Amino acid sequence: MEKKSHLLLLVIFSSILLLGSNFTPIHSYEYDWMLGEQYLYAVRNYDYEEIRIKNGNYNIDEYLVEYQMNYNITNIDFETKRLDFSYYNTYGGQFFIYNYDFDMDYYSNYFTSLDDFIYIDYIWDSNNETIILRNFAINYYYQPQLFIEPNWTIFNQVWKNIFNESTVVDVVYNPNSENNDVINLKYFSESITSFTFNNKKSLDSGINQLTSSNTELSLHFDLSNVIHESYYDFELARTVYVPIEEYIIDYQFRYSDGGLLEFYSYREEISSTLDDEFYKEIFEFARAYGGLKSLDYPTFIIIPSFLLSVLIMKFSLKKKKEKVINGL
Amino acid sequence: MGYKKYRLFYISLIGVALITNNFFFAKPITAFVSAGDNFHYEYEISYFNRYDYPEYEAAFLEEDSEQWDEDIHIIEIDYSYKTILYERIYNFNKDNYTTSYDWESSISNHFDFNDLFYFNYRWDQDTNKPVLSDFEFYFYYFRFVDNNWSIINTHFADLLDETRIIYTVTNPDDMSVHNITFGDFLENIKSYKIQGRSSIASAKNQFSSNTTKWTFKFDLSEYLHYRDHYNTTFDYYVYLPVDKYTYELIIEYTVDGAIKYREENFEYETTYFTDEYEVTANYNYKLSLNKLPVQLEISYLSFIPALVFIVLVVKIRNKKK
Repeated sequence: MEKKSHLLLLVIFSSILLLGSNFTPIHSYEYDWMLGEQYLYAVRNYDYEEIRIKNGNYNIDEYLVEYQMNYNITNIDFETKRLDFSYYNTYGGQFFIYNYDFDMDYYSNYFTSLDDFIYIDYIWDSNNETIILRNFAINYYYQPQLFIEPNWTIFNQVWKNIFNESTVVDVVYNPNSENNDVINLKYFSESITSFTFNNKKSLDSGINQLTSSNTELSLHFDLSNVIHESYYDFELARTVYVPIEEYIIDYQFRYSDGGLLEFYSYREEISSTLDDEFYKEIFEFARAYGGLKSLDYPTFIIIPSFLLSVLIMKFSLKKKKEKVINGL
Repeated sequence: MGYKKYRLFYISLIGVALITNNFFFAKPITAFVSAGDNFHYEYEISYFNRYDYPEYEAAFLEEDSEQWDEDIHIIEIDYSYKTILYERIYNFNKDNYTTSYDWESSISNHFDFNDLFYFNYRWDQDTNKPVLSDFEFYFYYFRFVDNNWSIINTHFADLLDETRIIYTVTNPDDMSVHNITFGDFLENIKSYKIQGRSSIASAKNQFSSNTTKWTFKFDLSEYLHYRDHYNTTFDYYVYLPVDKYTYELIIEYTVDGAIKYREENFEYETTYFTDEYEVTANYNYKLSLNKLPVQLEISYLSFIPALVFIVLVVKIRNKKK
């Protein structure tokens, strides 16, 4: 064989080898996290409870816990896409080791339908002969992983599938029409007091934000006067449903382009007056990249843009210093 | 001076006496709280704790604050056993409780020097001197108290004796015995204030027969020590000073003997060298009586003698004319 043919054969052979092995796709992402590095995160847990009764008696309880943890990535297995990290636990003063799968399949396997993420419950209110929203929750305030594979195509596809406007959120039997009323996500999002998806005021335009470069998810549900609570009326001998004055849920998280969690926050604010008893509750859970100072904002919801710019600045500085290509 | 002039003079004098003394209408000093009295209290409690572990860049902080109110309604007073039966509305529940108000006879149980102060001194072999390793100030809290203010004040003034030996420490190296007096303690701590005074002599004078408010403030920063580690080379414990330790108590009763105000402030800050962590902590407690229906009536009544006086003067003037 000629020299050139040898060379051609070598090129073809090595190309087949490269394509055949799953070596290339794994290393095609730019990761913002790497082996042996430490990542400082701050966590906030805030709880406020206020009760006031008719005669003026009151009770207010406010509780805040914040902690700072340094996560140390101790092992990365790019074949099994498994990650080990350790951190110093400030409660017990001990080191803890934790591991999980960082690949994006995790998301696509975990969130197959809206039910996996949000719980919505409608019921038939026989007093007012109408369908009412009875329950709403983001399941376990879903907390995203700190370090993930930056496969944003899959990431956005997962959320697009889940937040499909024709997704049926509940089916309620309507005794008047003797039919089942089917409630879809579009109806839900338009019937509540206010709704935003990735900072857009409609489901449609929110979903359009889920491009392959999007690395965040932000949701705002204002269910004030739409969601109901109930009590048993002994005179009427039946359950009575009354709208809750204030019921606001904010949820958001954002990754850096390289798959490092920048921040996450869940916040709910609920207040109601029932039987001359006023009740208010605020619950907040947040996590941010950086030390405790990165939590020094009243809430992430109010000034996310400020926080964002700080984080982006931090990241751009960090990335310049230690740009990680091909995983390691 | 003519007779009429004298009469005017005397009436004026009586009037002035009535206004300034208010003895005629005010409750006598011995008046105690009575059945039917209502008290509305507001509470505020908060604490803050922060732990820093610089070596691991780890930190933990916790903050809690609670506010609530409470209504107290006196149902019955048992004068022979010195107990008060009261109704308490708190946390949206109504319950009846019985409490003792017998603090005169409980002086020896709750207000002895050793009940108020707790000291623990250790011999520090490293610096060869005694160090305070533990301290506590505890003022027993009665909701209602006998309103014989002179007895309790005399007792407090008597307690403040600088020569009182508060602890005896033995030096294990030469077995010498060292007595620490209350005066040694006060002289060596960073600062203190009893009834707002920084000297025992002048603090003693602040406990008069009608004092119903007491304040204590101790700053033991750098004086209080914690036991850090065992020095195996020299076979002794190493004691290190606490960076910050301050405690303040303000307690006040109404003249009638009901708790009116109680405030506690505590601050603590130190770095534990061996375990390599820092602690910052504070605790605040506040109780305040915010409705004084009985006392409010008295203050209204005090206007009556003034009014009577003005009417009298006007009448006399008119008569003269």
